[in-house]
Amino acid sequence: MIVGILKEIKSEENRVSMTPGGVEIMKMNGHTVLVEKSAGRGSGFEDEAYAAAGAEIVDTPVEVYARAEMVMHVKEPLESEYDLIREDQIVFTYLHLAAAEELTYALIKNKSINIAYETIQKSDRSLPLLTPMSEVAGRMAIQQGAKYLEMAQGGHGVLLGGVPGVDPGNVVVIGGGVVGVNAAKMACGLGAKVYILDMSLDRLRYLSDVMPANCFLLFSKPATLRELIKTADVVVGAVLIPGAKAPKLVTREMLTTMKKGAVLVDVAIDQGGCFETSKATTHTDPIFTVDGVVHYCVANMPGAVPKTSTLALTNATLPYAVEIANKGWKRAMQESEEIKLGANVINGHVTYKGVAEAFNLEYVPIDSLL
Amino acid sequence: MIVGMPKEIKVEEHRFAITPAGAEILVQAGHTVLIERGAGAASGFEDEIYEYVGAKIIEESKDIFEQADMILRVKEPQPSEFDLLREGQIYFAYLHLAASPDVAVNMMQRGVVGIAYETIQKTDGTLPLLTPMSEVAGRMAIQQGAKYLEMAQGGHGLLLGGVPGVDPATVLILGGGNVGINAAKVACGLGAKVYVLDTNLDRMRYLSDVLPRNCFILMSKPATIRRLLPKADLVVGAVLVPGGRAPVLISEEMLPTMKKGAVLIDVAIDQGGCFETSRETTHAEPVYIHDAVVHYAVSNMPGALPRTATVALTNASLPYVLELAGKGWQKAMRENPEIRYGANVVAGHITYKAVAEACNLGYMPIDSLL
Repeated sequence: MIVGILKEIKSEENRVSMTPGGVEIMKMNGHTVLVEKSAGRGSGFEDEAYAAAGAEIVDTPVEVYARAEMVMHVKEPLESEYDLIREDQIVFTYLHLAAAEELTYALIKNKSINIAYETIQKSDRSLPLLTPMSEVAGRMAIQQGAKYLEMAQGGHGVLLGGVPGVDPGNVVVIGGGVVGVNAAKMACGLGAKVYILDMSLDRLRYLSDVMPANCFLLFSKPATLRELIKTADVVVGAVLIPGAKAPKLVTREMLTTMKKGAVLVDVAIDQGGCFETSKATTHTDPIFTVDGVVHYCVANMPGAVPKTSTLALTNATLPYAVEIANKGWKRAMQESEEIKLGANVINGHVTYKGVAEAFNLEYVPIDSLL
Repeated sequence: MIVGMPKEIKVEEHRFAITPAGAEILVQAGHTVLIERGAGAASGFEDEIYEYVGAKIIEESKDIFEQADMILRVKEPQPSEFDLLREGQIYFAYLHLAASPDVAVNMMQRGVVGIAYETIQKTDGTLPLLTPMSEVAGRMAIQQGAKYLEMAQGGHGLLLGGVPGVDPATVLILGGGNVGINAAKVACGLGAKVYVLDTNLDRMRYLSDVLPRNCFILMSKPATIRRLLPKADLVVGAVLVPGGRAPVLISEEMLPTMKKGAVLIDVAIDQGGCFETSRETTHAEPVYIHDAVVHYAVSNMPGALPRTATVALTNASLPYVLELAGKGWQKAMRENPEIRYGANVVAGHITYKAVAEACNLGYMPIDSLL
């Protein structure tokens, strides 16, 4: 199969969908890999490295779309690409269609095969292509919290780890999933006093086994959150309900009970955020202040550390990309339940229920197309 | 004794010389405590708390200078305050006179007893009033490094701790003293691969006992630095030669061997810096880029985190304040060699050799004045 790797064109997106190491593996499987010129630069991979791994460097996205049987991206195709996508062409990337009506219609119209990273799902219901980005975002969340606690950045001037003789900061992590556990690890490593709130007792038991002694695990209840938030220096919103909006756990009213100069980091902002006062921000303008509380709500956190994020993402995507390339999309879906769940729009049909419901479109179960 | 704490007026200085808890102890010891209105606010201490423990709130700093037998401060007197200084008045603060001959001369001419936090020294050679700030700066250094490794901040887009499956960053810490060990703890806690270089084998054995396994302790040699530098994502300059200029360990010529977008944090900038290309910056404008390497060289790092730094500083300074207030400076110096080391300007003479030499002024041993 001819596999095309496109350069990302969305603003602040420096990741790339395949590393030179991935190209080498694709070649070993007998595929041809086209890489758009300078696609890997933001992640530290030069064209020469791709060429050395056996890729053909291609000047324009037009040529990649014209020749490739499967194109890979990190972010969804943008408007300039809608007409370049061809019938029966596989598009494998993050799509987030339920939040993108125009894109959904464009992909229906061009009859392409659209497989979304974010809906690929394992039998244990985990989302293997979201996990690595949640890990990055969770770990980054604490770095952001530490940064914005500085006085020059709007915070109230507390060092998260304290120093001998001085209290460390209090960190409240709402949600003990992948984001939450990674945030907590970093906060604990800095020496902060860390609270994780979660609603699953089994998860709390597991966390209690693996987290260090400066991490306190609490069952999430409104009363618990109301009390903790008063003493918090950093609050990390790390609640994800797959496919649905994040619950608003910290209300506007509760903000007034917080310390002035405390910091909220809303990692759930992609799903609408879990603080009532959150609104999405960017890396160039990451924060705003409400009631004296600093809000950090960057929608694409891992984009700021593309070297790490690209490796983490492609470690996870490559096995699926290889399987799709080796077998073709139909057989890959017949044989892998995980890939089948990635099918979003196939040959003009919406095959993912959440997307069909979001736009009142007809839902066609993928099994009927295989 | 009447002890007075005017508000800090130096730019970007948010710390304060005493906490309410410290004021309470002074009052209980029978002293009168004068606090300028609003002086503790940035550190989170409101006037009411000081009043509650028995301090007097004074509207204007000039009244404090007029009444107090001892001025307790964080920073040296500023030019606008020179005329307020009185003969025989104790001024106890960070003075750094070797770098400010102007302040030295003015304190001399006015007959002030200038006792410097930074030269108070224990019998084992340690500097007890520099230690807490080194702890804050060392821990902060890694937070700064993490921030500036982000692509939007000029770095090459790496997450310090990596994620499962992706290499963490390599952190090189030059100097295993207080700054170095605190930086290493935080970097290790974030999950980075950490190298600490030092020249004292006994210290290295201790570091090897107390630091976690992701910290590697190496003998500092130019060849070792040259070998590690091309791998480093973050370099922390943490070398202090007491009273002298920091040695330049990384020359301009070595920068091109580094990764583009790597970050240098020069905690030794107060003492001239340990990178040849360092020049002092501020919290308002903390970084610049030289040969594609991000340089962070803020000279007053702890000033950004006043809540932590004020408590840390006053934990360490209070015992000396109590002794000075209880005994008067002459008796305190006669009985306590640690305080005697702090004597910088006494009765019109420079009593600290390095200051006299740096400012080209006459030196008078303190013993002849006691």
